[in-house]
Amino acid sequence: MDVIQHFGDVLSQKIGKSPIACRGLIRFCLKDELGSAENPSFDDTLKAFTNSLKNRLENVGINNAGSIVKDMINELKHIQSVFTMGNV
Amino acid sequence: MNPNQILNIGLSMVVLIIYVVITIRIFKRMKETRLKNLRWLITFFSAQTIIGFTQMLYFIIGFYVIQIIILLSLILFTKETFYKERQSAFIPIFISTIVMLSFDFTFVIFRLIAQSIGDTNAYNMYYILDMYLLSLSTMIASLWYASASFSAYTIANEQSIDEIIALRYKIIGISALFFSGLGFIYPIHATINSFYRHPMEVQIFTTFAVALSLIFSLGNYYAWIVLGKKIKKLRESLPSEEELSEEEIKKMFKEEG
Repeated sequence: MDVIQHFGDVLSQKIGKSPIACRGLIRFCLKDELGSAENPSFDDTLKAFTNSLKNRLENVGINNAGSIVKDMINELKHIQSVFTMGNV
Repeated sequence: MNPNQILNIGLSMVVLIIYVVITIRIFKRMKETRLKNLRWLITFFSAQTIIGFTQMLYFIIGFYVIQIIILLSLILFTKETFYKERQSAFIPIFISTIVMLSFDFTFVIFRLIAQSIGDTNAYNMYYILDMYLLSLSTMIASLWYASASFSAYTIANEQSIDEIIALRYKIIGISALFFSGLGFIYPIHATINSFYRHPMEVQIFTTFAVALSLIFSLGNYYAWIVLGKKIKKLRESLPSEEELSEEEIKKMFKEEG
């Protein structure tokens, strides 16, 4: 599973913006935290969502960023096993 | 040795070879992906391989220690793969397993004492108690693993995760159910073997246990090796997307209102 594609699509559904823009936003969140968006682990993605996603969403004018981030983190925790099952 | 015993030993060897293949493959992927949780799965399959030999040698303490490693590594793999930073039954399962294994240790010691003084009846009784506790711990650990896999399978289907990955959850869940089936077989096998000693029944239950191990190992071979190759192809076939700049993203968000 491509983490950026999956969570970009999830974010797109939550905020009603295009998937391509949302994927770009997720990619930048990962880069903020890790310096790279290549093959992030569950821990890396959790860190990126916790520390960077809210600021990134607010910077592009999304209201309710805090609650969207909370939903995204819940979603991430629910499918965390895909990081193992989709990579081994 | 009769043909049935030869068949059981042959099948047990096949199971051990499959475990070795799975262990090597997962070890390779752990090094490539930095997925630390895989260390528990490697420990689980390595210990399964070792126990295949210690069981044959009737090395009581070795068997006990490796059973502990198998059960704890399965519980820790389930926790780190499915329930990291998430509410789960980990603490009660972990503590109850430790408590059961501690009680079991006393039975192992009593078994050794009974063996050293030549008290066969006491030895058999402690052997059965030992098997009951190990079986209960095995069932708890493997049913938790199975339930985590089935629950992830449901989520994967709801979220349109690729069907090969979803299938892997399903196969792992089903295999774990077969593994828990061993928990039912061991105490029955131990009771018949210790007190009744009907060769026919003992052989039937031995064959049944070997068959369950074989199904479990084949299921894991399919999930980790066969589907692993398909998942690798899938990853490689994903189209790479053009990376947008920060300005382009901001512009798109603005334009979309």
